[in-house]
Order: sequence, then C-alpha cells, then structure tokens
Amino acid sequence: MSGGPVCAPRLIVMPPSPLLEVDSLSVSFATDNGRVRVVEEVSFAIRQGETVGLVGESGCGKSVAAMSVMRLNPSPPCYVDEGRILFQGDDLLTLDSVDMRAIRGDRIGMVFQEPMTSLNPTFTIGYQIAEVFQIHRGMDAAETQRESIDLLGMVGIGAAERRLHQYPHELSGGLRQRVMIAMALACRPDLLIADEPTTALDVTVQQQILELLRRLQADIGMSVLLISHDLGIVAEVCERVLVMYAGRIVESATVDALFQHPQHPYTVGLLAAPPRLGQRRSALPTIPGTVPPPGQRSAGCHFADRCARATERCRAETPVFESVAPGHDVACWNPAP
Amino acid sequence: MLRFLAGRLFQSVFILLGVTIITFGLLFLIPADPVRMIAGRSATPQTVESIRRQLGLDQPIPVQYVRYLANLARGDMGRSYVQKAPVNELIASRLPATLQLMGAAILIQLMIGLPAGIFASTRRNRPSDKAIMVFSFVGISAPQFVVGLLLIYVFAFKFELFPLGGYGGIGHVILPALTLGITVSGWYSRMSRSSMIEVLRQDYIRTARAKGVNEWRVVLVHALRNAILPIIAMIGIDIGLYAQGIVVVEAVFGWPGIGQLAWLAIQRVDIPIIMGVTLVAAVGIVVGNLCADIATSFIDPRVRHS
Ligand SMILES: Nc1ncnc2c1ncn2[C@@H]1O[C@H](COP(=O)(O)OP(=O)(O)O)[C@@H](O)[C@H]1O
Ligand SMILES: [Mg+2]
Repeated sequence: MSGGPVCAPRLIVMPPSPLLEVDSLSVSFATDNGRVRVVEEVSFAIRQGETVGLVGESGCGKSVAAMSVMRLNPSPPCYVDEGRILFQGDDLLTLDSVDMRAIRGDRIGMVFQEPMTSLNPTFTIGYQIAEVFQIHRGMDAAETQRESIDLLGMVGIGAAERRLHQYPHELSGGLRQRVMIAMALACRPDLLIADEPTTALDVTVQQQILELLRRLQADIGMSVLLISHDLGIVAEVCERVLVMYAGRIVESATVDALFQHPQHPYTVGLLAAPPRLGQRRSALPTIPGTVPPPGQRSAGCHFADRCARATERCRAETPVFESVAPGHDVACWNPAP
Repeated sequence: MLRFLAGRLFQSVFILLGVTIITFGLLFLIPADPVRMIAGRSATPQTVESIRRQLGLDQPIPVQYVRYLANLARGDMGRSYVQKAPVNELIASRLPATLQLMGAAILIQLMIGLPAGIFASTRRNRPSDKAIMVFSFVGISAPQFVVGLLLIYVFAFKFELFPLGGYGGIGHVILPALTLGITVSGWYSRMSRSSMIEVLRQDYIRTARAKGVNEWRVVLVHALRNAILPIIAMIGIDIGLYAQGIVVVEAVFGWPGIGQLAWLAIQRVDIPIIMGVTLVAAVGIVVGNLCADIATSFIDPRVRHS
C-alpha cells in the first residue's frame, strides 16, 4: 500500500457490484395440466443508475419475471423453482415477509400496465399516496400532506391539493398513471420497475409518460427496469435491452449495439417490425406464428419453429447464452450475420 | 345524491301501491270466506249476511279496494275481523319485538358470516376454507325450527343459560336471534367469501402489496372496503326475505312479534291484518334498500358522484 498513488485509481478499477442481480431464475405455474414453466433460467443484472429494457411479445413471461423480483406473483398457482434474486446484497427470495415488505414501495417501486384498475376506487388519491409515507417513513398527517403535494408536483400534476381529495374515477388514465408513478417514487427507490406503463394509454399521453420517466430517472438517479413489447419505447428510455422470448432471455446488449448489430433472429424480427406507438397486435408481421404457450414449448431453442435460420441443432439443443462482443450476449446457434 | 334518494322515494310509493293491489287481489281469489270463519258453523244465513254487510264485504271488490286505499291514505289500516281492534294498534304493539329480533339476528349473521367468509377467502381451497364452506352449507340447509329446538334443548333446557321462550330482556332474544342468525350466516359467509375473492384478484390489491402494505391491511382495509358493497346491498334485500324465517322462529320461541300476528291472521282469513302485515313488510324492504343505498354511497364515491 505504502508509496503508491493514494487517490484516484481505485474507483475506476473496481467495477460497481450490480444493484439487482437475477441469477438463473425459473418460475412455473401449477395448472390443470400440471406444472408449466413460464420463466426459464433467466439471468440478468442491473447496475446502480442503469436503465434496462425488457422486451418481447406478449406472453413471453416479462411480467412474471418482473413480478418475481417483488414477490408479487400469487402463490398458488405461481412458484419460483430455482434461482436467486440479489438486491443490494440480500437474496429477496429468502427474505421473510416483513423484510420483503420493507423493500416494496421503499427501495423498489413498481408501476403497472393498467392505470384504470391499479388504484383503489374507494380511497382518495391522497389516502393512497399517504399510505406509502406512513408505512415506510412513519410520517404524521401534516408532513404527509406536504410531501404528497411535492410528489404530485414532481410527476407534473397541477392543483395538487385538490387532487389529493379526488377519487381515481375522477382522473383520466394519464393522470392515474402519473399518480401510480408518484406512489412508486414516493420513497425515492433505488429501483423502479415499470411494467408496460404506457401500453394502455393514448399515443400523446404515452409520450408524456415516457418523457416523465426519463426526466425522473435523471433527477433521482434510480435504476429502471422498463418492460415493453415495443422496442421503440425501450430505445427512448433505456441504455441496455434484454430481449425475452418464451420464458428465456435470448439477447442482451446496449441499445446502440442491438439496433446496429442484432444477433438473434427474434431480435431481427422485432426490429424489422417496429410497432407504431399506440398500436397493439398479437402477431408480428415479420415473424410467422405466435409465442408458444408455456407447456407447449419445443425442446432446444423455443424460437426454432418460427425461425428462418433454424438448423437441426436448434431443435435439439438449448442454445448457450454467450458473449459475441463486450457487453453483447446472445443465445443462438445460428445468429444473424 | 339527494335527487337520487328523492327519486327512490317517489318510486317506492308506486311499489307499495302495487303491493296493495296484488295482495288485495290474491286475498279475494282464495276460496276461504272470512265471514263464515267469523260467524262459525252454526250461524244462520241471516247472521252471515248481516256480518258481511257490516264488514262491507258485500260490495264489489273494486269498491272495497278504493275504500281501503282511502282509509290507508288517512293512515288507517282498518280493524281486525277477529280481534276487534285497529290493525294499526295491533301492528304497533308487535313491531318493536320483531324489530328487536331482526336487529339482533342481522348483527349475529354478520358477526358470524363476515369473518368466516373473509377468512375463507384468504385460505382459498385450503382445509380451513373447505371446512368453513361445509359449515355454511349446513347452516343454509338446516330447517330453522330444527335449529331453534336444538338451541332450546341445549342452552335453555340442559344448561339453563337462557329462558325457554317468551319476551323480555336481552336473555330472551339471544336464542331466537341465534336461530335466525346462524341459518342466514351461511349465505353471508359464502357471499363475503366470493366477493372477497373477486376483489383480491383486482389490480389495486397488487398495487397495495407493491407499496409494502401488510397483509392484514390489504385484506381488511383495501379489499374489504370494496367487497362489502354487494353485501350491504344484500342486507337491504334480505330484510324482506326474513319474513318466512320470522314467522317460524317467533312460533318456536313464543316471540310476540309480527310473525305470530300474521300466522294467526292467515289461519283465520283476517284480511285487514294480512294486508297490514304485508304492507309493513313491503315498507321494510323499501326502507332496507334505501338504507343500503345510503350506506353504499358513503363507501363508494362512484355512487355518491353519479
Ligand atoms: N395465473 C396464471 N396461471 C397460468 N399461467 C399463467 C398465469 N399468469 C401468467 N401465466 C402464463 O405465463 C406466461 C407469461 O405471462 P406474462 O409474464 O404475463 O407475459 P408478458 O408479460 O410477457 O406478456 C403466459 O404465457 C401466461 O400464459
Ligand atoms: Mg405483461
């Protein structure tokens, strides 16, 4: 130690340990036809302050995977079969319910897809926001009121004092989603999970909400996991993208790398069919077929049946998730050239 | 909200009018003749005719109906054929006992049914849920007179904890109210279970959990406040459905309420009393529903603002 330079280098040399590290997570549902695996050995990490997108067609298991981090999947019928979810050093899957509740809403905030049904219709906005402060901060009524007004201002809701006395049905979808975001960010979490936060909204409102998320991320400096079926939305907000197909992560790269050199044929298909904002559809025009439901997924690569580049090996062996370039990983036996 | 209530009241007037027409019509369709009942078997035709004239039963039915309505408008429900007393007085003297019994029964049915249903909904398909549902089914299917006699045998006869029957203090009301409450609580535990299960699947429950709300608060605050709405509506409706149970339970326990009055009146074709009791029951249903609407509007802002 002695004699060498004392200051700068250490910070640069030490790679920061990730905020969230999901390691080989497998989740299944108990159904009438037995257990079906919905999430298969999913691994990814999110660093402090990083914005990561999770994309894939509907039914790929994005919500189930994200909800596993919060342990919000109803059990029964949903079970985590294996894996670890490390968050700030704790394995969330082994925490007791009291410790898990202390993390929910405080260190991890979550926003859901359906703003119309995600707020309790029988409580005022003010009550629903205040609850977060009372649970995690033990604030009194006056403090709560002050903080709630600040919070609504932060998410761009005017006339905050009046809004606190209103009920969800008096607010538009866009406003309700802003309230949801406000509740998720009330305690300045280290991680925000936003599950299709704009899918249910009008196009113009979608843009406003995305801008809001981008601005808040920059202000608060939290990490974000943004889930979407739309690569375009993810590209607007995120630095890095995870592509999920039929329960598996098939590609992981920075937004730039993914758009310039997509490796997995599924990613290529997603990129070739950019869904326009606000448009919903069940099938991609560039890829024939749809996501096979869990339980009906073939051996080997689950995408093989829809893939123009599929080989014998693809149908027999599960592709290994491997690095093709620094920070760019893909699970494919025959990646795009 | 006030306009809504005024509308409801206006509507009720027509409902009650309809009830009088239907009851009146039915009573004159049945073959039993009240006059023969009053006069007895040995009465001469002259006596029968003079009684008939006296009671106004010789007039055409529409005339009788209009006369009845005219009296009703002045708040007079007529005189009992048999008891020679105004129906108003007879009902007024019996009503408090029945209201006391019903109030206690509703309290018991909610105190048993709601917690059982809520608990079952959080233990869905597990043994405790299944056990509660079996008990509920037993409660629903058990005939009320059997439950009543059983309670009397065990708690009044064997252990002498409560009086065998009759009317008096709190002790007297417990067994008859338990009889009604236990049998009806089966419905309420099933209903609150299904209502809670429906609400617990909602997105806003997931939101509450995502905020870190503990499971107690999720169930008893976030879910229950929504799940209670259909149950409140049901209580309002049930006040009418109680009629049959009240008659049985009052008979078993010698409870001097409206049910006994009605039972005797039906046996003797005492038309003014039957009409009066039916009307009071109809008013009870209307008032019950109105109370349910008001309670609902306090809890559900969407109703309040509509
Ligand atoms: N309660 C459930 N029971 C059985 N299967 C379920 C349940 N919830 C979700 N799934 C299955 O899990 C898969 C992934 O769902 P989800 O995570 O919601 O997809 P995504 O969010 O990517 O659209 C779907 O194929 C769905 O059929
Ligand atoms: Mg989803």
